[in-house]
Amino acid sequence: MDVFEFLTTSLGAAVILGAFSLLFYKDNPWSRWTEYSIVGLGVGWGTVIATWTAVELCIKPLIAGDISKLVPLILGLLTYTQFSRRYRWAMRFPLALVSSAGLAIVLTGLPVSDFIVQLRAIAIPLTACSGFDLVNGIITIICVISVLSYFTFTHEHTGALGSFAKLGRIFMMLGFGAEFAMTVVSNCAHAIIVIVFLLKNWLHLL
Amino acid sequence: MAEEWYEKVGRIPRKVMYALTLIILIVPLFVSFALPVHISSETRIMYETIEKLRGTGKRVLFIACTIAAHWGEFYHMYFAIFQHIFLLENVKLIIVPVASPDAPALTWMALDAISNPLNKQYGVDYAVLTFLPDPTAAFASMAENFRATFTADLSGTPIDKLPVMEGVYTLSDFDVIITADVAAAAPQVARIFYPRFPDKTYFGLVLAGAVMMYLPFHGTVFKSALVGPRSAAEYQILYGGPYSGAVRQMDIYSAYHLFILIAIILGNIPFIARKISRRRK
Repeated sequence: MDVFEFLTTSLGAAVILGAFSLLFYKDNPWSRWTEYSIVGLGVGWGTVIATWTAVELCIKPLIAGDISKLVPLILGLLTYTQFSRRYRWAMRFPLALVSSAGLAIVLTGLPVSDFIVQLRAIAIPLTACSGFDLVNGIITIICVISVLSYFTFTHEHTGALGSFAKLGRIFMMLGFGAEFAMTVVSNCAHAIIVIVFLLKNWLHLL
Repeated sequence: MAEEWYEKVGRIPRKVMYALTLIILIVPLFVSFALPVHISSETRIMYETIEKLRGTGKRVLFIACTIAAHWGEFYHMYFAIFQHIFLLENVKLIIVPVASPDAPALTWMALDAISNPLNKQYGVDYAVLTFLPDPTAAFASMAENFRATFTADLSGTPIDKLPVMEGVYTLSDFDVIITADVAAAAPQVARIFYPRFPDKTYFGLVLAGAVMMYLPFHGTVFKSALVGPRSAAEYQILYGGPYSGAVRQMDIYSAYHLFILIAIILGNIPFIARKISRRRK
């Protein structure tokens, strides 16, 4: 291991141990240093990439003669007018363009992806299913109807509607519970990678 | 009044739980239980689809939107996909880093880690195109005119000089489109790519903690997905290695899941016991 590699792995280990110190001890200068370093490095890295992107995608082609790149450059520069009380209004133009263009792009595909495809997915031909597929199909249909009935507010949740709404709430709770469990599993993966880093790359125990 | 036993169970110090978690995560790294890994149908579908591309000269588009904070999970999935494609003869891989500023560096980290038995060459068999910062604009532009979206690869080489880009003009020129991370990009794939190119095969690499973002599009827009290191391990078993370490880590997951199960039971004991005790009174 050369000196540079040793220093970089030791720095990585110091950051990881700093974060762990918060769990096993309490808020301390080491853990705070870790937090500030991560935030600072993240912002710094993001700034470098954003600047590089602006140079590569806009400024270099502009210098090469592509005048059309003046439009995004001017719109981008207009966002800085927010720092001036007098010219703050000019910031609305790039913001309006970005949000409206984004909405237009998304909305053209939204009916297909979020409605038609989803409706097609629940319109399962149960007669053609067997075994687990049939059970899954029935559960899906009950789940959709009951969850939708939970969000029906035009009638009081009593009788059949009330029962279905209750069932819908149970289905949603199952969904949220599964989501939370997956988050725990996800965090486990992140913990494993830092532990492997400490034991393998830093301490050479693996 | 003496404290009930179940109240003590409910007040296990947090630091003890952290220490136990750490032990549970470390021990399986030294002691292998070699528990069997069941291959799910989801992983098999993805594997078989990519396997069918062997020798066809077809292209895979890989859209990398991963952030460094999620690399613990994604590393194994990136490794599995890249390694499998590198083991297949005459399959081209084009990678596009989008949205996350970390994506270009992470992509290279995964490419550097895989073995290259067929001596696949950069520019001829695979390429990493330039980074696109805004996901909506990037996906819209790629759907509109893929070729015009990119003038160069990540190192600045014009794409006209990359043999792998010969004949690539629109998304129609790709056979399989893989998106990682789906949580960040699933809506864009579903709303921008899918309505225009519904016949393409879409796959996702999903963060286990963000699987809810992917689920609405599962089986409808996306044919299948890898979800977390477990799926990556299954995938690596299917192509038979080299492995990224995910298969070895499955023991840790099993031990950790068992620990979580015990913790849930322990956490619920005081709640249930208190309820019973109140009823008795």
